[in-house]
Amino acid sequence: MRKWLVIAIPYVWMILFFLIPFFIVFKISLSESEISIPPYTPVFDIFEGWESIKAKIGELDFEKYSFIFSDELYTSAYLSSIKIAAVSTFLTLLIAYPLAYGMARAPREWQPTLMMFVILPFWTSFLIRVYAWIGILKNEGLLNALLLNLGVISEPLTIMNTTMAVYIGIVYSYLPFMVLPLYASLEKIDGRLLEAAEDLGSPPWKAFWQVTFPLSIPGIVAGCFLVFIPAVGEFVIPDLLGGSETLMIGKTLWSEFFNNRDWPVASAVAVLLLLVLIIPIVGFQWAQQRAREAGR
Amino acid sequence: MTVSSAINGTAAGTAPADRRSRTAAPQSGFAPWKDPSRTPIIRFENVTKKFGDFVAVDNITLDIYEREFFALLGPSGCGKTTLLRMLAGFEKPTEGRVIVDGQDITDLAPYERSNINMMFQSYALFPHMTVERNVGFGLRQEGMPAEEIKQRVDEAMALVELGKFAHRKPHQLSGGQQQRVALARAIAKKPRIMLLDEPLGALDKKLRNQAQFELMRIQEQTGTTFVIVTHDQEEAMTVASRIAVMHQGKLEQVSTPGEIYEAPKSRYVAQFIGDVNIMEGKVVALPPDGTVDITPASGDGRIFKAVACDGLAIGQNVWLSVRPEKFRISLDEPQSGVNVVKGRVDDVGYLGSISHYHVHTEAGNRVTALRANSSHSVERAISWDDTVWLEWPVDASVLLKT
Amino acid sequence: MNNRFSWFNVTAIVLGFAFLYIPILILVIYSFNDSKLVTVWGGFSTKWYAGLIENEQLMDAAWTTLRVAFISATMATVLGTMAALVLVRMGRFPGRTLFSGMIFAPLVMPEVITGLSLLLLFVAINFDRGFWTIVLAHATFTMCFAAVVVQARLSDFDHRVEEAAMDLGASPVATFFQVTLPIIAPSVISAWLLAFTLSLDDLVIASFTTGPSATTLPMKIYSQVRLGVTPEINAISTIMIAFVTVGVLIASYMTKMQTARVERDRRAADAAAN
Repeated sequence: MRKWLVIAIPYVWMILFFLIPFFIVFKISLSESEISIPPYTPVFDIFEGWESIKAKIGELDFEKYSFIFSDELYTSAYLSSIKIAAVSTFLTLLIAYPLAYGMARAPREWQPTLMMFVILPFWTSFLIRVYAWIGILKNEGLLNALLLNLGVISEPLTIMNTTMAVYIGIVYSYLPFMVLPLYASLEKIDGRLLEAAEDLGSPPWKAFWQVTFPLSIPGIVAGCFLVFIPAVGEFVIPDLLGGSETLMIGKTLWSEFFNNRDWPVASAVAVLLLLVLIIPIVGFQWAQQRAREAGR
Repeated sequence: MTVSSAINGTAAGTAPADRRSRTAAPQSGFAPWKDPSRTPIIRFENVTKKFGDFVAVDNITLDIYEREFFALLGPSGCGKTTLLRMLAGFEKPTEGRVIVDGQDITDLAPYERSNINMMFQSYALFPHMTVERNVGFGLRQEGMPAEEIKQRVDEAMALVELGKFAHRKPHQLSGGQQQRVALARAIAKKPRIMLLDEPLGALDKKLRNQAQFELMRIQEQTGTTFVIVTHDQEEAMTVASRIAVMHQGKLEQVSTPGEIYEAPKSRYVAQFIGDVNIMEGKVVALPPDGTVDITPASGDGRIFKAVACDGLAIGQNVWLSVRPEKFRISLDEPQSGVNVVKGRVDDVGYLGSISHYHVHTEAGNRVTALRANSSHSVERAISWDDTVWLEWPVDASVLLKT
Repeated sequence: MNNRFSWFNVTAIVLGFAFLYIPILILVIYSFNDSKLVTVWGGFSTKWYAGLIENEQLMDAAWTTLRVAFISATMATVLGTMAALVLVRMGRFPGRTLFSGMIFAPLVMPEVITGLSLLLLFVAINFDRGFWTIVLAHATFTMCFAAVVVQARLSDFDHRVEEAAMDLGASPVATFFQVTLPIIAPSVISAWLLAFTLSLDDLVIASFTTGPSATTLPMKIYSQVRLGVTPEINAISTIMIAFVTVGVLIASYMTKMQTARVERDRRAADAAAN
């Protein structure tokens, strides 16, 4: 009896606050935009009786979706979100791999400390970490001041409010998400495997590609999913660093909702974003499942 | 004892024989299973346990009597732990009933079975409590007054000689000490039935032997019925009044250690307990003197003699089993001419007090024989490639029908 | 062992950490800048910190944020611990796959979707938006993180310890409070801290689910950041960073001491036994 209570409480909570809201989003994405409160019709009211609800269901249609597909603004926002997320995931991997490798090969007694220093930025505010880059990247910012003083450049570089700044922001913010799974899989590799490879005549750089790298693939896969999925829907980074010229779907959704107050379009954008993300989310769950089974 | 630890169980055959005489002595009159007027304290009635399609325990009926030290013995996956966990209440039988003291406890939860307590594999001590609080845990659940708990805890800790560690946490104890805390924790509840799941599996050999005798002392002192699960046949032989050998969810044989060793009922039991040489053969004659003549299945026409058992028929397939220490190995041909095999020594293993010999027989079999290296032996040492004769008495072999 | 600091390892670690920490260091340094310009060092000053205390709106927002984080983290920890128990200890039951999907999906769900969907729920059921809607929203998305943290600990502790408690007569409820909870306590505390930090940090979900009555610190910071870099924001950021850094340092120091002590005791016990 108590067992069912323990199951029921979190279960009902998640259905109420996670599952049902998605159906509401879907329903509103099929509604008409209105200038009223709330800004859409029809509004369901269970007290009106079944006939009225049935009539209102008839009013729902996919008009907002055809609108999104007909307007290039939205489709290019989806495509550029995916492109930006993919490029930054790759860049994150390039930076995270040597760091995770160095950590995994550091003396044992140092490893917990190094781990803590990777996790520490994750605990500090995301917003603040993104904000920190504004002062560095803007035209009269510290990076340009430094480079001008060193004589590397004669004209300030325009990085702020470009896609480049978004890449930097994503790589910086999501680096711990990539380093941790990489470190976990690299740290597990038995050092004797490399010794065995060298003993069998493989020079260290070759042993890396033949032994270490293949064994770290589960970490690479997990890290890439952990960076790519949230990056696609990212709002704060493109908004603060990307300026008006960077199109990302999270930003589009935000402005549909807050600036245009068009809730049905914002909902349709959300539904489509979710559809875009379902493949990587399911892929991620599948990869995690496989890793768990292999670990057994 | 020295023999068995020196050869580390590979040919433990000799050890139980001498140990039996020691453990059997105080229990010689203790055989409640032979007394039809006694009711068992534990009764499994047609108990079956399935996990999905896997049958862990297959229709077992078994009686265990008060004050017994009962061992469930078998390889991993044979169902012995499942049987024990059904007694503790952690698993519910798919079919059948578990009866304790005449009361059906099949559907009781573990915490409702107050007269049964368990000592867990790898101890399962509460890591956040001191030794004292670990031992008193079960008593606190009963709502016993603090004074009384203290007294019972002290008593239990004295029994396992653990008094001075009362205020330590489990991680501050060695493996042997942790094992004693686990024992004290279960004993403190004064259960009528004590379950032990591989209780000594985590200890090294030397400590394990010590702990086995301590378990026997405590069992006798408290008069509790012990049911132990083990995969270590020596351990079962040492501690148990009776052993149930399990195989694939079924009971192969339930007998005293001596019977299990000397009179196994199947090839499985014979091979599981100690070393044994087994030869397949056919019954060719049943002389009236109570013996049986057997010819090897290989068909070389030789005749071996053994003591007959019930229900034999001429032409029946049987297996003859001979323990390595039952052979007399010699360089000269024996005079008797009964149960003699000629062969060549392939290999000699010198183990100090004993040696074992792998003999390649004329018929092409490999046979293992043991011989004690008695100091007064004047015979020439047997060595590789010697021609030897192996001889065994008619009553030293066991006839197996399955 | 071949674990050592080679030149490659040191370079990789130094460069990696430089990338992670230099932006934060610059932000901290410039919070003490007397000049209002980011590129010009005008001498050391703490005037921006003094200015913060007089900024009532900012202080209000900070207080709201702390209250939201405290309440939602507590709810999330209770719910998350229950969810972890369901995932690890309850075996199979109808709808288990849906449940584990609902627990893991929010971990990677874009915040804009979570925020929008919760807002639309609150509108649909006509729930007054403000402080409590943020609390409910934060409790929901942080409970999934809490569940994952507690679940990791639950699944690697010996199930037999709980069986031992029940064998000694403790009911399932008594077993949970006397044995399970004390053993998983460190992970429950980590789960609470994680939920608290995530709530403190959140801009997007709070922006969607709040009403006119409640403004959180990230919302306040965000609206000012959009107008540009100011030393005042640097100052409040520095305070938040210091707060978290001290907390994490203390926590990791305590864990380290604890592990060292357990290890030392175990060695001493083994040595004494031999």
